[in-house]
Amino acid sequence: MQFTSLSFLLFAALTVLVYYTVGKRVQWWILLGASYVFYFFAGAEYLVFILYTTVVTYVTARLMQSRVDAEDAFVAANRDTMEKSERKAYRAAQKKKRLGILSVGLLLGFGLLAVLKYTAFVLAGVNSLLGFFDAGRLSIPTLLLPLGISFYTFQSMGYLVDVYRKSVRAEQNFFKLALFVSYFPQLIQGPISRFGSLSEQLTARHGFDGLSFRAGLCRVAWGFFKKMVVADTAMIAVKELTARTDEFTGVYVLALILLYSAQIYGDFTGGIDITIGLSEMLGIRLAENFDRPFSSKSTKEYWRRWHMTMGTWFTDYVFYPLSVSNSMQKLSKWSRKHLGEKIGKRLPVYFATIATWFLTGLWHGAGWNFIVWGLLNCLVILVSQELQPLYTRFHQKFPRLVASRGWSAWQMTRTFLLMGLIRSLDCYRDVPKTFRLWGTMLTTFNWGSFFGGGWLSFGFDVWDWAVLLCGVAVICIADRCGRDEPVRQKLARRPVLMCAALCALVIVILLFGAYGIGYDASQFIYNQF
Amino acid sequence: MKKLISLMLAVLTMLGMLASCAEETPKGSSFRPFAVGGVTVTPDAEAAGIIEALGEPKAFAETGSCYGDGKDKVYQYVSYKIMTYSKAGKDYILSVEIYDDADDTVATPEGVRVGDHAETVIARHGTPSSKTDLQIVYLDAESGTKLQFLLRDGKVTNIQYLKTK
Amino acid sequence: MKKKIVFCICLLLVTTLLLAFLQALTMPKYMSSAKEGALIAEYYRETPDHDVLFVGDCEVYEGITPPTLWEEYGITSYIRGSAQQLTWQSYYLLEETLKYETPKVVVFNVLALKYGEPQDEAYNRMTLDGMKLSATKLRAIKASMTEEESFASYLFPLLRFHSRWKELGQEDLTYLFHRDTVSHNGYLMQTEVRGGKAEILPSPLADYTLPAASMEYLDKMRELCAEKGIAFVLMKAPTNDWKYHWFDEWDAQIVAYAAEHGLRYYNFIPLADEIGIDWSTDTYDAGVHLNVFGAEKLTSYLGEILVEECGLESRKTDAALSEIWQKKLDAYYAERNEGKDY
Repeated sequence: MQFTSLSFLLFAALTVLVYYTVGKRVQWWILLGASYVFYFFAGAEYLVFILYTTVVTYVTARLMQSRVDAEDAFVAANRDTMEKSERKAYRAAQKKKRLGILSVGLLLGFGLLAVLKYTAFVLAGVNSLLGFFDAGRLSIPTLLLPLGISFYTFQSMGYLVDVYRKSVRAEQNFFKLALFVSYFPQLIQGPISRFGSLSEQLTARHGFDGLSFRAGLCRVAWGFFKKMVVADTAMIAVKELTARTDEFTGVYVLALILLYSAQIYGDFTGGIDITIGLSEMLGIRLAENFDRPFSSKSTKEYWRRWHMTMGTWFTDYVFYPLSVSNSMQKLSKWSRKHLGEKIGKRLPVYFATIATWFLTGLWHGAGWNFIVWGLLNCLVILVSQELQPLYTRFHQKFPRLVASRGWSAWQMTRTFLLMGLIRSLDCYRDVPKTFRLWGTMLTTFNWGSFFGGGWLSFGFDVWDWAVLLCGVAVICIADRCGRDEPVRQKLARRPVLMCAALCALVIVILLFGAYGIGYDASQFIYNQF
Repeated sequence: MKKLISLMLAVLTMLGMLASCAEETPKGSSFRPFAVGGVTVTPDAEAAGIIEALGEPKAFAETGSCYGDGKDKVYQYVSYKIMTYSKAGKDYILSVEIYDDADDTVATPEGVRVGDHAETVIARHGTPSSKTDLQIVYLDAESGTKLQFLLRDGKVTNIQYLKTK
Repeated sequence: MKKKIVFCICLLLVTTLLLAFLQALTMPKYMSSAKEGALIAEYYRETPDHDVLFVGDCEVYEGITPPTLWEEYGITSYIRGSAQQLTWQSYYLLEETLKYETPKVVVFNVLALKYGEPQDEAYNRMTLDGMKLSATKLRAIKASMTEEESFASYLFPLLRFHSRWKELGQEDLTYLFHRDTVSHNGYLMQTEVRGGKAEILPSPLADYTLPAASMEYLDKMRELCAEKGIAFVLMKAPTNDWKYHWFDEWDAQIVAYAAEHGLRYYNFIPLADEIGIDWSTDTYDAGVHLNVFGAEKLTSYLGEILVEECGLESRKTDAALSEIWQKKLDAYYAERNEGKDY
């Protein structure tokens, strides 16, 4: 069941209806039931895998929690007899034991993801190595990849770490945990929620709140608009531009970068709008995943504003623990001693950053293009970090220029294009080919042919351009109008106006949306991750 | 603890195996595309150059359909014919058919001709994707083509290269 | 509050109307090209009183001329034919038509029996979109949909045709709320003469067994006619084409089927000479489909069978009916003499 399908609309409507008509006590059961029905429609065989993750998460968390409880009880009971240092040592020993349990849980949780998602990639790598030595080939099995497994695995494993760190208590009710893992609006493309902020909301009793219901409804419709009118229209051209790369070089690569930016923005933020909007209609507030990312002025800022829940996940559960880990401390000591203070101080941070970005790339997909994508992002961030003193000097020298609007615009454009360039690895899939195509932007000067009719040669007619550009303009305007308060909130307070806006949006989507026969039914891009 | 770990690892392995069973790759085999007189005829390839290289056909027709839009074309040569379809104003190869053995240079690149025994097909082309008394079929998932040998009384009566996608 | 609710209801109403308007605007009109798409809907404008009903594909709507049947034999008839009409579609069209009238004879053209599964979205739309909404139509849709199609798009064709906003033309405005009649009781006239025959061999098949799915609907048609006391007749129109070749193996199965169930089956292919078909002048597309001259010859021949073997009688003595049909004949000859075609 795709978000932009009629069956999903009916399913969601029915869920909302039942949710508010049954007693509030059983609301969360409705959500759990709906989530499993949703997942069942995606593929009955996938249920085994999500259940596996749920069981592993539940058991591991409970085991850790029982140790925590025993530890607290022991400390409380021996408060008077234990020295502070004794207590500390006891707690440290307990923590180590807990770490053992956590490791098993993580191994099993990530293990499944690794096996399903990366086996083929690793075996292909081994094969090319074997091929190099003329040593035969391993057969590569075709594994099925359960829908949304990257998302629910990350969410569950984050929860385990939280229990380990004692920042949340382990859930006692298996079914409540099952709902946290499988909550259907965010199951297939995030956002990656935290147990602390989501779980209680999922199981709480929710009365009907007209205002947030209306705001949620507007947001869902808005998501549909972004996905069906903007993203899916742009996709027509993106598909063609990436399919015929012999022809479409030079300026066409730039066109692809721009078009794919529109596509992924509409696709991903649209999908998240549907997710968050639907949750809002159910009275559940999910974490935001985007904060107008394309107006970022630097790569670092961009990654604070794009796919935010993934970014913070990696910061909290990879970067931070890695940076403060024992081995990293040792590395830091060693490098300071041998390489001097200046480099020595940086080495561990660099190491943690590179590792984090490598994993971020790998999370997006089992392919070299994703790994290179991650590492290039990392490179840009590290280089700009290194150049910081230079920037500061420049800013001091030209304070008026730097304060001007033009300078901000330049920074935004630069970041947007740079991110788009790196993102094109995602379209072309093949790393050497992507680099070659990037090169053609400098060597092949075909702007003339592009504006002399080439712009209509990749499956895009004048009307498609018109729809896309109007769609992008509408999004920009809505973003601008919603800087202080989102447009949907303003609309939700004025039901009549909202009704009119919704009707207009429905007509626009139905008429101008790129759906149905003639347009390939398209999945949300982030379903694949 | 170690027991627990090994138990869970076993479960994981089983799940992995389950996943691999669920989506077994279809039985398939590859075969070379039809070629005659040094010209290779690949389904979905642009037709203009191929037809020009093959020379004047013995017979030609533009076929209509119920709709009346005659877009498909057929070029019949000695012993084989080529069908094309039209997309965005260009013609592409739809299928190739070897219909008799009048021209003894017309055969599959693996060397099977109309009139050969079914055993010859298997010997030259290997294990088929499917085989009945009426036909032997080879599917090539990668190129999205199908090669089928029609049989009558154990002998090949007709050979067809078709698009499956 | 009340005012607000009333306003919102009005707004919804306006939206619905606007969507209905957009749907009417974007649906293909089939008035100047692909006219066969307009055939199915034309039936509802007709007085449902016919002696003979034809169902089937292009071989009936381009092969049989109801005006000729009237002119020569006083037989009233209607063709519920459509492009590549599949057997289940023929069945459901028959089922629907029999709700409006009970003819004496139903004639089904057997070519489409070779298709055992849904074929082509465009043809599906041409057959199904014209049908009035009914339980029969819904069943027809379910039976016909190809994998890429959605049921909802048949209930709300805007979902299918919305992208036509790019190609709207004068025709879409002219025929927004009405359609011209393009057929003569379901006969779509072709006056062009393009004879000859391409010397292309038909491509043999591995298996000639007619698919169970289509044979099942043939059974259903036969049973439905038996139930209503209607004579069910099978025919195969003459053709000279390699692509729509009617294999002897298929023919043998139909002959056996007809014998088993006591049906009349007429394969006109071997009778082409006797009918007087001249392949150099009687087709409009080099041997695939008959033009009006070929169709008239076939109809004359078939009319005799209907009179002689099915016992149909002339109704020309009915003055009111004669008047109606005279008008039809006038329109028919007007188009025939004008030699217009598409």
